[in-house]
Amino acid sequence: MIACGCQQNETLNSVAAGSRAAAFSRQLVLRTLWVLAVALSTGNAAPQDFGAQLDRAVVEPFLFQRRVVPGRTFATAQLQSWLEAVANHRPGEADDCTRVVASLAPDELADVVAGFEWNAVPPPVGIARTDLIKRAAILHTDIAVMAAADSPQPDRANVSPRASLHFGAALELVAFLKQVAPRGRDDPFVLHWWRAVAAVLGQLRDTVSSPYYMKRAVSLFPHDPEILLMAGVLSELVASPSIQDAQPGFEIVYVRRAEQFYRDALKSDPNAVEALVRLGHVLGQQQRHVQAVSELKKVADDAAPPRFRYFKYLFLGEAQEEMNQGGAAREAYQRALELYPGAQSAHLALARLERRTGDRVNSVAALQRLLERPPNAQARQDPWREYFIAGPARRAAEMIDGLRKPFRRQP
Amino acid sequence: MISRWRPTVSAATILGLALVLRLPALAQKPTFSTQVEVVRVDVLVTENGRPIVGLRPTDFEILDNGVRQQVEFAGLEHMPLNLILALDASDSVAGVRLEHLRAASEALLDGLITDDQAALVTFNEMLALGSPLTSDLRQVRQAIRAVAPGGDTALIDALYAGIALGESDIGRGLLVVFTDGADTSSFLRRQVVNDAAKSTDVVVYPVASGLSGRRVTSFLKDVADQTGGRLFEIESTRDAQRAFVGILDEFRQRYLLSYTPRSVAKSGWHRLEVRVKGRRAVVKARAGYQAGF
Repeated sequence: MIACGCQQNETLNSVAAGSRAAAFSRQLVLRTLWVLAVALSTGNAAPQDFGAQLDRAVVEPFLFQRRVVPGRTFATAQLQSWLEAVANHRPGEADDCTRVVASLAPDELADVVAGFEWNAVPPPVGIARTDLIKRAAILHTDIAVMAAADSPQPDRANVSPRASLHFGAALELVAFLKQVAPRGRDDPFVLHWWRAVAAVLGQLRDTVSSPYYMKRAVSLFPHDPEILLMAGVLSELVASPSIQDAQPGFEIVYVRRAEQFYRDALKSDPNAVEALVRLGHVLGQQQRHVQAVSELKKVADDAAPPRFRYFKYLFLGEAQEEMNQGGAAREAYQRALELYPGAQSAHLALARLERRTGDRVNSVAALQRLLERPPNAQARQDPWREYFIAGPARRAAEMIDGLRKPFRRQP
Repeated sequence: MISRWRPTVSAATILGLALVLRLPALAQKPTFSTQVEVVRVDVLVTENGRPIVGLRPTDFEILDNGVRQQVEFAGLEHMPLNLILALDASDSVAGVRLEHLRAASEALLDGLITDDQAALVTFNEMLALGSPLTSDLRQVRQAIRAVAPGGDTALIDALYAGIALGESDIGRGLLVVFTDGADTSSFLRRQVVNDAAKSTDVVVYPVASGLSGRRVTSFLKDVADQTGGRLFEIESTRDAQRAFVGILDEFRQRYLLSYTPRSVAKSGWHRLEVRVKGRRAVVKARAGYQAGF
């Protein structure tokens, strides 16, 4: 049973100033994430500041390290309660532990995490320090995932400020793992956590917290093809009309970023079909159609799952259409439709092509073939609808579960 | 009693598309290229904010790429109307908003008269043809009642489809498109709709609810302006009925002008200027048209 006791303060003068600076900077990261999430999710952020804010979110916390005040105090009872929750949480479940910790205010949470890092109270007996940190990261990740699932925003799937806050807490704990473990960065948990959280945010098509996370993830794992792929897809999402409608002005910047991420992913894994297909797409978006065709033609049909073969032909058709190769484009769209006969995107592409070439009869006929199909998911299966969800993000639940598995108690 | 005018102009663009949606076999006919033989321009003429009626062809002056043209026909309320109603059926219109939208749509249909046709397109992330173009308005009303909201918003795809449907039959095309959310899932890009708007006879009237100041409204306004239509911005779906009925009233006051282009290029973008001779009238018409390919 978890209980939050009355608040007690304890002064910790014995902790080295350097450690204080690091811990305080983490609190600032949490607070900045919270402010950023609230500002963007409530639409208070000025559109023109969107990109700048994302960058500041990464940089600013570390500018304030010198503001550490010696003699900092902590609510140790709250920290004790948090530690009990960490030790007793059943990974993946909404239990008393998640409820208690989720009720902490942002400042309280920042204090608790900092207090834990400063060893403000003795940790529970029988759990290794590194395991405790991992358990804490899982607890906050669970709270964040649960809160994210409840995000009530029909037009934008961005995670709620609460989800963002707890992802932030988990992030700080994962970062702390590096400090306490001799081989912190090499601990497989760290990469697994980053991949899993990137996948969750990617599945939610979040654009508020994700840029921050992906930037950190890429800086930590600059050669991991999965992280690079998800960073690329996020960049494409930010550049997409649905996001640019609310926060215009950075479309081309993010398309270029996506291109670079895909190129880096392909350097690490030349067989990464998804990265290759997406590279072709972003090249097309930059009007570099010859290069797009060249990259897309590298995608071997026998090596690509149907949805990536579909994208290959859809984007190939688009590039060829722009190059005034109507016949080749038509053939490409038809190949795409052979894979997904009810796909709205390919039918519309074909309608657009026919209209462009002056054949409005066939343009309307292409549209008609689409509209004749019943509007249900089965008859209208269209990979485009999930284009902005990276392959790994489609396995988000499985990845998060893999993270929890070693910490589940046997019955 | 309103007299009816049956089109006899040889606009290949129009005739080539006739009834394709209702008669699928026609879609298999041999390909032909669009050539502008007759240009149709739908115009709204107002003076002191009020529509002017009783104008004749000789009262109008049309400049096609700066070259004065001979107006051959100026009709008012004489040609059957093809109303394409494109309704946002995403998550955001569930509940009372849907009721408002249904009532507004019914009121719009109430304003149609004999020989007018209507079609219903709904869109979330999928486009659905609730009813093809038909003069049997019961079918359209039934489709309106069957709308079940859910999912994302493919507004751009829907605009494109709406314009294409409006061109698919002889008649004056009017596309009324309602949305209360920004696009979240279209495949087509805005430019494709802008291009279609430049080369269509269909007049587009978007109705945007609660989207004031969003980038999508400037896009919708551009599309409307390019076709000679107008963007209606409303605070909430409660105002949808007033907007829908207002659109039809305004559309009924429009003149349909036609002319055969002379002394101008046969392809490319043609800028149009329409004026009323000897009056300080405000003329709202499409900005131009795209000829040839």
